[in-house]
Amino acid sequence: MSAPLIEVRQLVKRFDEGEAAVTVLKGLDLSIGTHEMVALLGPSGSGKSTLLTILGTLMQPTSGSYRMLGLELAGAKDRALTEFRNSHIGFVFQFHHLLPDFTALENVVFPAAARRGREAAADRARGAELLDRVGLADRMHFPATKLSGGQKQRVAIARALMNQPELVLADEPTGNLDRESASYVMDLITEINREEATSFLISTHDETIAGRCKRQIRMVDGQVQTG
Amino acid sequence: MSYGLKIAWRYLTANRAQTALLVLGVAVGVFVFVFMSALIGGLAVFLIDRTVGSVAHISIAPSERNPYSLYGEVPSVLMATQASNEQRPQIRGATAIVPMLRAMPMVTVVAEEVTGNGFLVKGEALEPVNVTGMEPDQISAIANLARGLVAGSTELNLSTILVGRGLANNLGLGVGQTVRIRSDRGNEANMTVGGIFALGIASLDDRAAYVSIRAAKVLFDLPEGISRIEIKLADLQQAPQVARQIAASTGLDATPWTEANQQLLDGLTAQRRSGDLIKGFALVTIVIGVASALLLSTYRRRSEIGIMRAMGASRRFVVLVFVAQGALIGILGGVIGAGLGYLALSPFPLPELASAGGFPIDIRQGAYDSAILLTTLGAILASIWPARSAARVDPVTVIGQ
Repeated sequence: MSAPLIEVRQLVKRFDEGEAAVTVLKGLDLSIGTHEMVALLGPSGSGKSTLLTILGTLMQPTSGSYRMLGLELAGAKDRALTEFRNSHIGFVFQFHHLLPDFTALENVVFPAAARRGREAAADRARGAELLDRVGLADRMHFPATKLSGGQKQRVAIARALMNQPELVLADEPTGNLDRESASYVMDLITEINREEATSFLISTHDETIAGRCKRQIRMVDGQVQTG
Repeated sequence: MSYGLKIAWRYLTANRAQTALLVLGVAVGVFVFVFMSALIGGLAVFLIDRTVGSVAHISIAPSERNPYSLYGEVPSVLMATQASNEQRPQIRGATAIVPMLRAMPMVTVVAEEVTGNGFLVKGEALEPVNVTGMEPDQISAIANLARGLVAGSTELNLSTILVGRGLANNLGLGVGQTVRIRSDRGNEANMTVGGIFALGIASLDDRAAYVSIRAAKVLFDLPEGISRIEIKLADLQQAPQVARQIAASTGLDATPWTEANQQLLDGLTAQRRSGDLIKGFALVTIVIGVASALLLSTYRRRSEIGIMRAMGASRRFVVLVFVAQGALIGILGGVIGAGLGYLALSPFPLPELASAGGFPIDIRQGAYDSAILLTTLGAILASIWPARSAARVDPVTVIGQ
């Protein structure tokens, strides 16, 4: 395995909902290196989504350590996490989650523009380049709502790459696509992983999709079983 | 353009009908604000014009010259002084004072006057009269006799006199007729009625007569001095301050119009406060409208806000987007409301020109700039709560939905 990009040690996540406390992650250990493409497998309720959410700095663990790029992120302040997330982590969701009132290009450029507070010409150029790369150069100025499901997911991938993150977290990225679109999206992710220094952690139920990743991590009951 | 502002504009234009309704609601509030400002301001102008329009804004008279002790006040000594009546009160050296007054920035009219009491005699009829002698070219400078003229002209020479309509009726006088004037100094002269005026003020219409200042000097035995100087100002609200300046620099008594019209001022103040209250309600309505609309928008766009936060948009950025929406709504509604208010007020004549029983609205007092400014500030204020609510959206919750 290459040099560690993220290192998770004894990660615990407990949800306290009234009297019922549920522990979803139970002392999980995990390392992912740079340039890796990792599939995260496991049955529903095994804690995959919770792990992705914590790794994406959208949620804090109850205890344990989460380091990325050498920085301890567990317990960091929201403002610092927001800036870190913007610069180093990309997301691809199952339901694309594009901004509906924006064009494809505007959606892609958003992470950079939100950071700078303006839409720089260089960012628009990179956004256009990314859309070209995912095969949507001719849909650049289409409103997000006018795109097909597969096209929306490709826009979401371009958006995830906008700020050249070291890590892209993909939660069932093909779960809502037909076979052809799913294959196209996975080809794209594989190509980007091969050509750029971006690691991918892909949560999936689909063994075929997982099979396209160089490494598979299986989660069972809040812990990593294999990987 | 700021990116937050761009998103704010995009959100507003994404649902045009809803935004149009919201802006229209704000505009109506601003319209009420502008209309009330113009109405209250117009009423004030109308009332002041009707009350003060025919009198001076500042009247300068000689100060009382009472004897005083050269040793100052001595506690153990009781002193009684008697007002001097050896000299008639008059302003001497007006030729030096008048240019100084004319040079003051706020002063628009300076009129030298010789005044006195007397009688007008026509046959067996006799009426008391307050006579004012003025320079012929300034005859309409204080009381607008030209506007109130009902017969003849306002031209004055040594032997013409202008009388009020009530006085003319009492004596049966018409233009061109001769009337004998007898001053309280015992001087008499025959004069021709040059014009008859009606200013709508009984004390003037029934008792006032105007002659040339040269004729008045002869009638009242004032060959050198004058009785008073009357002044009009560009802004009559400045009268108390300017009067104090004049009194300090000339040593004369300078009385602003406000001293004699305190009840009117109290009434106008109460009226203005009522207007401010209504304008305040209009602003509160705007704030509530904008806040509720933006709060609804926050709720509707929860998932988008969550996505933005997941993509690394800071809470501050989210707040900016919603506050910018409030500001844009405020500016748009403010400008449209103020514009509509201006258009609606345009057909109304200025209060100075409004006829009796008319609608005294002053288009100049629509307070358009403060209406736009206050509305924008109010809308920004109204957006803070929804903006903070938006910034608290948990991306995990909305992404999972």
